[in-house]
Amino acid sequence: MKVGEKYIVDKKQFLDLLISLKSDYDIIGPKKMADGEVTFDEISSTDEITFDYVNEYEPLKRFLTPTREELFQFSGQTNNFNLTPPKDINPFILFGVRSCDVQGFAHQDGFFSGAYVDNYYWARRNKMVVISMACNVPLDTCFCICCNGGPWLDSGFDLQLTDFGDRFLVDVGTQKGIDILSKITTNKATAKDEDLRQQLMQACDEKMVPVAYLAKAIIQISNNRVKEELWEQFGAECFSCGGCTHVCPLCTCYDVQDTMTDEKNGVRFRFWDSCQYCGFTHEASGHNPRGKTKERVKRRFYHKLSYAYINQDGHPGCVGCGRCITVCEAFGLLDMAAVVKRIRRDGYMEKQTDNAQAQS
Amino acid sequence: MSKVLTSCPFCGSGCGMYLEAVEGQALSTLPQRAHPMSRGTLCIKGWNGHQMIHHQQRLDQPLFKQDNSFKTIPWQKAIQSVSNSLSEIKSKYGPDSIGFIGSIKCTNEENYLLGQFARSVIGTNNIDTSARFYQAPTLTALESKLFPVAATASILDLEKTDNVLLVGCNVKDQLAAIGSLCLQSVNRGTACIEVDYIRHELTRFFTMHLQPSAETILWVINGMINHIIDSGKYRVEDAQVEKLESKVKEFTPKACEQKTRVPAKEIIRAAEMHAAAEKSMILYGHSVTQSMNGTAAVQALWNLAVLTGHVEGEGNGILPLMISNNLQGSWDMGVLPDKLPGQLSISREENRTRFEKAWQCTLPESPGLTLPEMINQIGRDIRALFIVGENLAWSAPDCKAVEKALAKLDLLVVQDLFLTETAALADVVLPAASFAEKNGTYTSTESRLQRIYKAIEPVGSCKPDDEIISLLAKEMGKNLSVEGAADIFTKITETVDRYSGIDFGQISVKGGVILPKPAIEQPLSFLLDGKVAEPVEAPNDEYPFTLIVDRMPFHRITGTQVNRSYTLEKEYLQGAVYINNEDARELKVRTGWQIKVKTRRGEVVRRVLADSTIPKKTIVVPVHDKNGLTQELLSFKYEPRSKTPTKICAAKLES
Amino acid sequence: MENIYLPQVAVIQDIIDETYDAKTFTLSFEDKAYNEKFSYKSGQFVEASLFGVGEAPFGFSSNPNHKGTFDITVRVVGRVTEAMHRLKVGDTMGIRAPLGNSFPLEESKGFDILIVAGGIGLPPLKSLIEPMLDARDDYGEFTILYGARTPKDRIHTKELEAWSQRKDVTIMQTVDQADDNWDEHVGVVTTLFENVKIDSKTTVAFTCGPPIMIRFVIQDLLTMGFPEDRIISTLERYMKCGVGKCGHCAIGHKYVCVDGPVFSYKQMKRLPEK
Repeated sequence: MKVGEKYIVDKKQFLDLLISLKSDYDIIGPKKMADGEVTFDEISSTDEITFDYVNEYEPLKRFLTPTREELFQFSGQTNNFNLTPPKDINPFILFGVRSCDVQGFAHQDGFFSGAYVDNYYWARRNKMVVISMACNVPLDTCFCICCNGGPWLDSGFDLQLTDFGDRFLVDVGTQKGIDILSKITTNKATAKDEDLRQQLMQACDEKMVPVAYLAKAIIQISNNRVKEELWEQFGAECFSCGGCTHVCPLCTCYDVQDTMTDEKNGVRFRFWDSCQYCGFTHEASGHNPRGKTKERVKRRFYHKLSYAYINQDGHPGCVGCGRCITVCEAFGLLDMAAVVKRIRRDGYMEKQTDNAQAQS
Repeated sequence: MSKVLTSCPFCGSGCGMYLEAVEGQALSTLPQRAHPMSRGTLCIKGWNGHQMIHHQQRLDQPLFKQDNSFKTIPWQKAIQSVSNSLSEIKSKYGPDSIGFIGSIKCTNEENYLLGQFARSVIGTNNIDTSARFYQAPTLTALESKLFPVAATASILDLEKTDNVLLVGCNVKDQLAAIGSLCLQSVNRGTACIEVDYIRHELTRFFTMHLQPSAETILWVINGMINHIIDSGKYRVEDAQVEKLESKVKEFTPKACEQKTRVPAKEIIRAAEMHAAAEKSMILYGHSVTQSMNGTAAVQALWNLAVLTGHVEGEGNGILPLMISNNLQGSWDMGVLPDKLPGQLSISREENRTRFEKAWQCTLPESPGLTLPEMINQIGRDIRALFIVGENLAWSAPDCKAVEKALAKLDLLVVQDLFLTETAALADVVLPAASFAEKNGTYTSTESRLQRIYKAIEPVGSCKPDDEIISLLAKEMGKNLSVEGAADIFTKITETVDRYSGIDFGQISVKGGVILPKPAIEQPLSFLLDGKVAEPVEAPNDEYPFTLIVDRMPFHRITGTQVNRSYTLEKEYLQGAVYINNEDARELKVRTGWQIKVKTRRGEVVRRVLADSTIPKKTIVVPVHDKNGLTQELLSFKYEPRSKTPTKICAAKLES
Repeated sequence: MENIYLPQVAVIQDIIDETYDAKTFTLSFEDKAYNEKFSYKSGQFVEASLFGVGEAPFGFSSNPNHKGTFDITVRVVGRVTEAMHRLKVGDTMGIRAPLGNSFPLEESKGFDILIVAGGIGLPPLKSLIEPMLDARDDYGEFTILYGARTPKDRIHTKELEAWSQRKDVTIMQTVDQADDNWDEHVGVVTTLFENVKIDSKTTVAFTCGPPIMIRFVIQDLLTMGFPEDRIISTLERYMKCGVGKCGHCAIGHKYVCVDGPVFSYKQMKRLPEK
């Protein structure tokens, strides 16, 4: 078995294998909640797993950077301190992750590396096994095809499944994946199988509703040519709820806080923050460089779509999961798909020299 | 990790959300997409308010004050002590020497039980909530027309209506979900007329903005009524209109322009839009109610709705905008000095009999004192206050005076999550469970009854408020014979008609149930006893400015909870006073500079934010800022009928 | 893997009261071996923690050539700084350092040096001035301009005095509001420019202080003909992690904590306004 190969496995057999790994891993998979929504949570038997889902609208980044994460505990007095970093976590399998989240992990891997390697992120990342599931059907908010975020991927997963009804087509992504898959009987996928997958993915592509052409918005934002009135309008529409950043698989901003558990002991923890909040850039002196809503909305899209960031990160800051469409309190006005559309339609100033040059 | 479905415990919109708990800690929230009203959205409070649950300042043990400082005591001793003190005061001064303040944040079950405790165990009708400070004029104005007093429209009617009259509420910041629906409706082509002293962020998207000077909303509404009658564009019998006509004849649009500074032609245009619309809704908030004309203004809005035929039916109706999650519930549960659960008048024998049977007791007949009256009677008729989840020392206007009054009580018992300014004055503080730690129901501003579910065990030794009240009753020799929220809810369904037939276990996880709309007195008629009052403090040479209190999106009530959310607390740093930029120029101050706001009662120093949207000679101060208490500036003068204090006063600025 | 968020415990060796609201703390790490190995550059900063209160960034204010201890100068602005001012010698705090980039000390060799500091902007520049004066011969003319709100707001008065004794340093001071004992210049710091001789062709300018002051200083320097890459300043933003992860200090695609805090005007100009 080699990385890059494709296999066919029996679905039931694969799921049984998954559950049998419980002794070595925490198994996280899609589950139904009381109101019919799906959530990724700990799975202990195959019948808990639901296949009737497209995706959870809380991103799975929470398994790598929890909403609130302990950095260390401290104890002692002002002249005698002890610091204890948190204990290691169990290895875990994320089963049924969608491609957009897998792509999100890949982008986050890049962000949490570099000159300063975020050891808390990697402590979890190294313990995570990703068994992803390509999408046969998109949601009416999905636009991953515009952002290279799906419906299926070439890499980023340990194993990638494509649902063929009673069978899975399995893409082998890493040695971790081989270690798991080699425990059950598999058959090499045939050309026919690959064709079938191609058809399924093609069908999925065609069903995507909000097609977000990022290109025009990228150009206008990078060249600072979006009309100021449009930003003004965005600012007045935005509720500054922070929902878009909360559910974005790529947003990573956090705040840090100390809290005492009793008189002598305490914890320092980090928790998700949002650049859409006024307090995000508020300095102790009272100065706030981004005190206005419009400036914060501008900031968000600059980070997501400017050349400066794309050059630095190698990709736009979006995987097309469409979650910001779901949670935006300004309903359909300020999510990624809406903003790029509004900028493309009429939201930018023509570069004056363009016309001048054309005429000369 | 587990996600527990619940309702957002902050404003009155009643958004659906999940609370995520890991190892007994509630760590984050997520909006509920399947919720029919909020549809997958939350505001900044919903996303971050939960941070207060595990804040280091959470009380986790009962506190007992001895020699001016608190020490922790076991629950049993705390309950005994409160029981003894209450019994002693009751036997010495009588049951009416004890007052109860319920909570517009607590569940229906907790409020119901508190009412039962006050009336059946102590035997007093002195029970009220801080709804008195916010929405009481709705109750006084409409109690003769609606039974019970509640919204006649649902929030989602915003999607079916043709016209929205939004009066006196910064809806985007205070009830964001409703603000969002207003924005959506406007973008679909629905007309929206806003009437408010201040221009808000959403105002630019609305069809019209009528910007009256402070305390003159009543004139705008009456001006609209005057024009509709004058132009014959009403939808009621001529005979009926005559009475109203004589009532509003002086409110010609021209006269109203004089008073309000809103051009007569705008009043006329708004009136014609509202009258011509096939369906129209009226939404109103605190600029209407927190005024010396609160009751009269709500009556005028009623008259406007009746006149134009927009009182009820799809896409029609009146929707009071309530700032707290369970304000409506506290009314329905009878946390009112003159009403039993179901808003049944205490003065009627049949109502008393219903509850005397249910509670196995004899009920006091005469109405009790309202909240401001209780405060005024401290040291005289009132000897003890039992406060559940209310920070009076901050929420009351002229709060420093209130703080002084509270200190004079023989006994002050406070149940709360944190050691609030009020709790700090208490003799006994009982630590209460937060929304994440208990079961129960809330009734939202549109009377949507929804469940909250226990996601984690109570922090420390905290107990849900209903459990504390049960324990106390038992200690005082009266078994309220209820066990938990489900049980109390069953009692509610047995005694309160509006809630009858609802099974606690069956309340839908997708937005609960919308309770039956109130019965409307037929035939429809006008409210004609409204009296016009002048402002308590008109600006003069010494105090030339009008001070208006506004609210920020990250804030709710006194901020006991939201201030303990790290994220929301940071937003707070923005606290400022907003003044007109021409005024700023005259005062020689610029945005970012410090300025002193002075009234006859106190002063605060804050940063200036000069803004052309603020009317001239007006100061807008966000409520409850850390840099100084806004409430300290206000006068405790209240509108005589509803007893609701005004949140407008005269002020001066010193640079 | 190294834990980038775990501070080292450092002990306060000395506290100097600089002004009514600023103190300089001299610190060394509790772990002797760590302290031995520790080094930093002018312009870099520390994240200082008071456990139970929080963490905040401060520039080094000491001479990097002096090993064994380092200084940070702290003015009271918020919760963390208030708590720090209550500490005594022998108390500890958590330190993560060194963080950020540094002043182009090497690249400035052979040039004249102009230092323009305002108020609490002097400490990080002191950490630059001192090593430059240690190698005085490597630089040309050396001019220091310092402005403060009042004479009482002046930081490092001892050092200012010592520098003014030197013949090879031109130093001028000014205050916005003078008191009875002040006999030097009065006015904002930029008013000093007319009193000193500066050749923009041969000078590197370093400026640090309140954002509004920096703006005016840069304006004047540009008018004087300074090339954009020889105007060096620092940017300040609300900062949490100090290692480019938490996102608070981002301006455009730059993070003040790792790409800065030192920027040339040429770099600053390219960043979005907000």
